Amino acid sequence: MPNISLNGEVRTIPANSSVEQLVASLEAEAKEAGTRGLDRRALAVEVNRVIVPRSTYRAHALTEGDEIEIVTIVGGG
Amino acid sequence: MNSTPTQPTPQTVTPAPITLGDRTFHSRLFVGTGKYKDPETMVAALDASGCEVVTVAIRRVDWKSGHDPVMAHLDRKRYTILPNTAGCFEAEDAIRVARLGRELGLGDWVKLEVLGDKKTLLPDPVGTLEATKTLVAEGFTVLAYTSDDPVMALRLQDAGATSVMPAGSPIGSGQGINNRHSLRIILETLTVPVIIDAGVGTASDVTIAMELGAEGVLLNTGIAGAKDPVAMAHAMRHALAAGYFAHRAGRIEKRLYATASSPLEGVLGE
Repeated sequence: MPNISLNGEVRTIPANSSVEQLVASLEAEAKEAGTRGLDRRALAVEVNRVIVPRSTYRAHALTEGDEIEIVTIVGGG
Repeated sequence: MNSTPTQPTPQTVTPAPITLGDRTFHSRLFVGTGKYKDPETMVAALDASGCEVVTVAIRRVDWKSGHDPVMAHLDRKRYTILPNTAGCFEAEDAIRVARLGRELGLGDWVKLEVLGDKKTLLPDPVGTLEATKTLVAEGFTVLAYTSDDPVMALRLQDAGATSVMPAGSPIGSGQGINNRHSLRIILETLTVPVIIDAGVGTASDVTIAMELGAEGVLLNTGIAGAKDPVAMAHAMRHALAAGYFAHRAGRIEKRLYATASSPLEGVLGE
């Protein structure tokens, strides 16, 4: 199973995962944590410094060593 | 002299709108959404400030604790959300954050910050200029945070920045407006709107910035960190109007000695 970097931390994902599956797994973990939850409409995804548009989450396969950043909006000045 | 006092007309109590790129705003105060003790205080303070543009940051999502509640409390019909690139120390990172902001549906404008070091949070002029050029070429409306260096401000304007935003003093320092002379040169030289960004500690700092001729002021900590943020937001709003009108009214020259306001002739006992 490939190792990827997600927001600076190493994570092992199932083989042949897509961005869609990664986001779905984060949604599941957020639900399990029982906090405020995760709204995928408020996320943006970058793989290896290139933005992955929401419409291509399913088509974009993740491979060993991919560096993924998933960001959202927070308060700031 | 038998006329009755008249109410001031709205034109004399409300500064004129400001246009940035293709957008026009009724308030010249731009307010950050960071560091409030709770979202309710933020909402009330933004309301009291009268602002129409609020800044936000873009950060790695912490999916286990969920989203920052800030966005859920911002009325998108009322406020234009201006994403910043705060915390970026490389031009490339700031460019990535700007693109991510666009992907997040925040449009094509960005408050660009490329910082030089963590202690002073002073801008890195080389990185800021580089990122401005790239983002302008990609169609972004760039509001560029910079120092009070007049030459740098001009370079950013030449690079296509829609607004140049020199710091009054270091971010979050509350020192106010430290270098009026350099800011005056910037304000005289540039043709794009100049917004004083950062360092505001209290209302009089906003007035000074506007008296110097700034087109607007951007602040966050001065409101969020006040003991009563809502009251301070109210004060900032009025301070901005005071400075705006004072600048247009034209102040008197400073003199070393007194000049009497009342006639010197006809004084009793002469």
